[in-house]
Parts: sequence; structure tokens; C-alpha cells
Amino acid sequence: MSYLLTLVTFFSIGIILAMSLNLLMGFTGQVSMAHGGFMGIGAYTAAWFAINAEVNMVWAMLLAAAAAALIGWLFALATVRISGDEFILASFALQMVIIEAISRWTDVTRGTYGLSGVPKPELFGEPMRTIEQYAVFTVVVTLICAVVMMRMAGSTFGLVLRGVRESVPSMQALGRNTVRVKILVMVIASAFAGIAGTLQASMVTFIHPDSFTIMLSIIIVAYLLVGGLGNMWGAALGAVLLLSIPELIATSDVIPSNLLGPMERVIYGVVLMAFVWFRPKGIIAERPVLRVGRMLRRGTVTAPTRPGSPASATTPDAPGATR
Amino acid sequence: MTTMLDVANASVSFGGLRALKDVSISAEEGQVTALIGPNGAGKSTLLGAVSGFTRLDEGRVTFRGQDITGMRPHQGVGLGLARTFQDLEVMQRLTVAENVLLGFPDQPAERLSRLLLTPWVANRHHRATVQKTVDLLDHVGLLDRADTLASDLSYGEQKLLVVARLLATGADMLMLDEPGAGLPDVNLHQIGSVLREAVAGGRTVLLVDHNMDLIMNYADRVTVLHHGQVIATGTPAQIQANQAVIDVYFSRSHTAQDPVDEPLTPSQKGAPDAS
Ligand SMILES: Nc1ncnc2c1ncn2[C@@H]1O[C@H](COP(=O)(O)OP(=O)(O)OP(=O)(O)O)[C@@H](O)[C@H]1O
Ligand SMILES: [Mg+2]
Repeated sequence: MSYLLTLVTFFSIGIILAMSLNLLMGFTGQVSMAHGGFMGIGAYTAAWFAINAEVNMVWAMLLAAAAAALIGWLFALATVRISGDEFILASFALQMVIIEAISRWTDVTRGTYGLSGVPKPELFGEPMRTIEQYAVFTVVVTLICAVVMMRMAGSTFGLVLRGVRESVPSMQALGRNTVRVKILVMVIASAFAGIAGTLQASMVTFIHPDSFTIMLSIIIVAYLLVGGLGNMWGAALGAVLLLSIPELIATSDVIPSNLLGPMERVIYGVVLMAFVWFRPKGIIAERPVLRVGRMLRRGTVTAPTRPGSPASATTPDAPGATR
Repeated sequence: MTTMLDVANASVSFGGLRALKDVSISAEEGQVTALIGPNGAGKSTLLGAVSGFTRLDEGRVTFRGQDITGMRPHQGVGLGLARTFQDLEVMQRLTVAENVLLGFPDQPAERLSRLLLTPWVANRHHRATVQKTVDLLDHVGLLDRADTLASDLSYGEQKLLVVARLLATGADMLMLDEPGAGLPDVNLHQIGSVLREAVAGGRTVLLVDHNMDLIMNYADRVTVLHHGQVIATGTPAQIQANQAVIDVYFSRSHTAQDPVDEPLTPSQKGAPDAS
């Protein structure tokens, strides 16, 4: 039971990471190799406040989101003029800087000793003691995050993000401040990564610079490539699938335990290559936000009735919807 | 008659190349002002300078009496000034309807505070905007393609889409960069009639094009650019009869490029002299 609940907790954290990176990478087209680093900023911020100032992890989570958002904001300001490969390189550099900073700032982070004894959140004045309680807490936080992010993704806001990915000039010509949009989405994605970091820190109670390396950032990118870039359900599915692989290997008994570590990476690599090769859009491909045909059929909107329109000769399947 | 847009003594250079040299042009409210000229004449550069995409080295841009020189590109629509691009800049992986929906400015459904705190307000506004999108798509004859990805449209349909997106902005001044180039006649007349209706509805149009059918049928005034300079301004009939313009469009000697894709000849049936 507790094994399953542990899994559910890690799946939840992975889902927040995947969905938030999706806003940045799938929707806005900014491929970031620093998402693991932002998670680390959140984890360390929350852990520091909880350990040194006895801040409840519930509130420490908000501080963590704010800290990650702040770094995200500064990074976005520095990178507003670049995109594509240059942005990937810049985010890669940021990932390295974050890990260096965590390793070197020993007064606060205890460097490579790591921070241990990260507490669980307190609710109603009581610290959580069981994995059941913590799993429920994590799932609730994840649901809130997921609802918020899916609302963003499924609205005109999400369309604006995709518009920026498709054509910056046309979004500018349509009155959108694309610089502001890019900064905003970076801040949002970082804040959610900070929340995921907090959940992780409370779960494992010990955090270390090695927990948030470029390897983690790459794996989060892999969640999206497997599940489906630009699709929130796909992102969640990708996270759950890739997080299941090591568990399946470990429980299968086929592979000797001393080979588990290396085999895991090999299998990750093979799965990723298979997807990029055979299913480049991921398991669930990007879908339109707006579906006019469906809205016409449901009567949410109506097709204009035109007596003899000069512009077009073809008639849409709309008349069926208007009785 | 009032002047909507006024460009005074505009100069732009790219490195050593002077794309615009002391160009002055104005557009009157409720009229179609056409800007023509051979390839590389500086037409697109002028549109860019007016819409804030290209920095002017010298000169002033005035819109409705307000100095807008140095405006940022995204500020145009808010002021009532919108443009299309010669290379269309269609958002390929969005649907036709989504492209047009994004044309409508200031939507509550794209503001995070509204979206998350008062979702019912955002949703109500969103439905109204989708209805306006449907009406506009119907107007340009693309409603049956609403849910198609823009990348799956034909070239002509993409050009109609770009015009629909432009109309959605609600801007009073519409600037189009070669809406007719490369279009079959059917689409050309669709675009022409959509433009005519926009002008009838009180909009002002600045039209960059080579297509003489479009210019002769729809423009009130024509300005001709050549090598970054204005060489003639007048009514379509005056321009057609202007010797300097005819020289530019027919002589292939002073530029390595082809003068234009659509020379004057085909539509000169009615013109008095074709030298
Ligand atoms: N961003 C740029 N950098 C350098 N040179 C440019 C740039 N944009 C335009 N030019 C040059 O400036 C000149 C004017 O170009 P412009 O695009 O304004 O011409 P145009 O009249 O629109 O031509 P066309 O009919 O081919 O669209 C050309 O010689 C072009 O090569
Ligand atoms: Mg041009």
C-alpha cells in the first residue's frame, strides 16, 4: 500500500513538472533545459525556510514558488531577444549555474552534504505523519495546479502562447506584447516547478544538488516528447509512463539488481528514440483549442444565415445546427 | 476630407543600402491609397516603418494627428492601425478559426486574472468572440474551413485568412502588403470585394500591390515608389498615363531584378495611350 502511495506521490510531482514545462516548451516553443534546476530552487527554498525558520511547508511552498518565479523572471528578462537553439543553450547554462550555486553556497545549502530533515507540511496545526496523509496532500495540490494549468492551456491564453510560437511578428501585428507573454510564461512555469520541488523535498526529506541536475531536466523534456508536446493530458501521461519504467524494471526480476541503474538509462534512451522516430508528436498529439464545428453543432454559436452571399459559394454543415 | 496617416520625409537604410530616401506619403480617411513600385522599391519597408517594425533613420509618422514615430510593433492595433505581411505570417499549426480569433484584441479570456478569478465572465466574452469569428469567417468565405489547420489551406485561402485576421483587429486603418500577388482571379475578386466593403464601412486602406486589376478597380490614389523614392502620385488613370512610371515598369535595363510579376499591359485595355 505505502509503495503504491509513494508512487502516486512521485507521479503527481512528475505531472506538475511536465505540465508546467509544457506551457513553456509545447505551447510557447521555448525549449528549456533548466526545469530541473527550477525545481531545485523551489526544493531548497522551501527546505531552508522550514528547517531554519520553522515555516510550515504549506507556506514554504509559496515562498518556493516565488523564489523560482523570481529567478525565472530574471532569466526571461535576459533572454527576451533570443529563441530557438540559442534559448536552449542559455537554459542549459542556467541549469549549470543553478547547480553550481547550490553546491557552492554552503552556508545556506550545506553544499554537497545536502539538507536533511525536511519536514512534512502541517495542516490544522498537526504535522502529517503518515504517507497516506502526505499522498492525499500531494494529490490535492497537483489537482489544483493541473486545473489551473489546463485552464490556461485550453483558453485564448493558451492560443496566445501558441501564436507566439508560430509567429512573433503576426502576434505583434495583432497587438500582443510578445516580450511580456514570453516573460509571463517563464515565470509561471518556474513557479510551478518550485511547487513540485517543495513536494519532492517533503517527500524524500533529504535534498542534494545531485537531485536536480541536467539529467532531471532532460527527463522532464522526455516526458513531453513521449506524452505529447502541446497537450496537457499527453504531458501527464508521459510523466506517468516514464516514471513507471524504473519501477517495472525493478519489480520484474528479469534484470540482476547490480545492472538496474545502467539498464534504466538504456531503456529510457531506447524509448525516447523510438518515440522521436515512430511517433514524433507523442502519444497524444497537440489538439486545437477552439473547435468551431462542435460549437456550431451544439448551438453555442450560430452560423450566419445569408440569403445570397457574394464571397463564397460553399455552405458549411451549419444548417443542421440551426433549427 | 481628413488625413488619416501621414509619413513625412522618411528615410531608412539597411547597412549601406538606402531603402527609403526622403519619402512622403499620406492616406486620406475612407479611401484606398495604393503604393506600387518594382521589386525592391521599398514598399514593404515603408509599411514596416509605419507599423513600428522598422526603425526610421529620419522622418515622422503621424496617425490621426498624433506623432507615432518609433512606436513599438504591438502598439499599432491599440491606436487603430493594423497590417498584414507579404510572407503572410499565418500561424501554421493553429486552425483557421484560431488564427482569426487571435485577431480580436483585448479578450478577457486571455487575461489570467479574468480567466482564473471570474471564469464565467471570461467564458461569456469568449463565446461572443467566437461568434464574431464565425461571422467574419463566413464573410470571407472560409467558414467551412474553420477547423482546418492553417497549413492545410491553399495559398489563396491563406491570403483570405490573413485579411480576415486583419479585419478582426477592428482597426480603422488597414495596411495590406501584396494581398493580391500570386492569386487566381476568384480569390482576387473575393479580396477586392472584402476590401471594398471595409472601405464602405468607413475603414481606410493602404494597399501595397503589383496587381493592376486590383489597383485600377479599388484604389482612389496611387503613389509609385522606385529605388526608395516617390516618382509619382495621382489617380489610377493619371498614374497609368505617367511616362516616368511606364519607363520604370517596362525598362529592364536599370535593375538586375525583374521589374514586376504583373506588368501594366494586361489591364491597359481601357487606357488611352500605352506608348
Ligand atoms: N531587413 C533588411 N535587411 C537588409 N536589407 C533589406 C531588409 N529589408 C529590405 N531590404 C532591402 O531594402 C530594399 C527594399 O526592400 P522592400 O522589401 O521594402 O521592397 P519592396 O518594394 O517591398 O519589394 P517587393 O515588391 O519585392 O516586395 C531591397 O533592396 C531589400 O533587399
Ligand atoms: Mg515587399
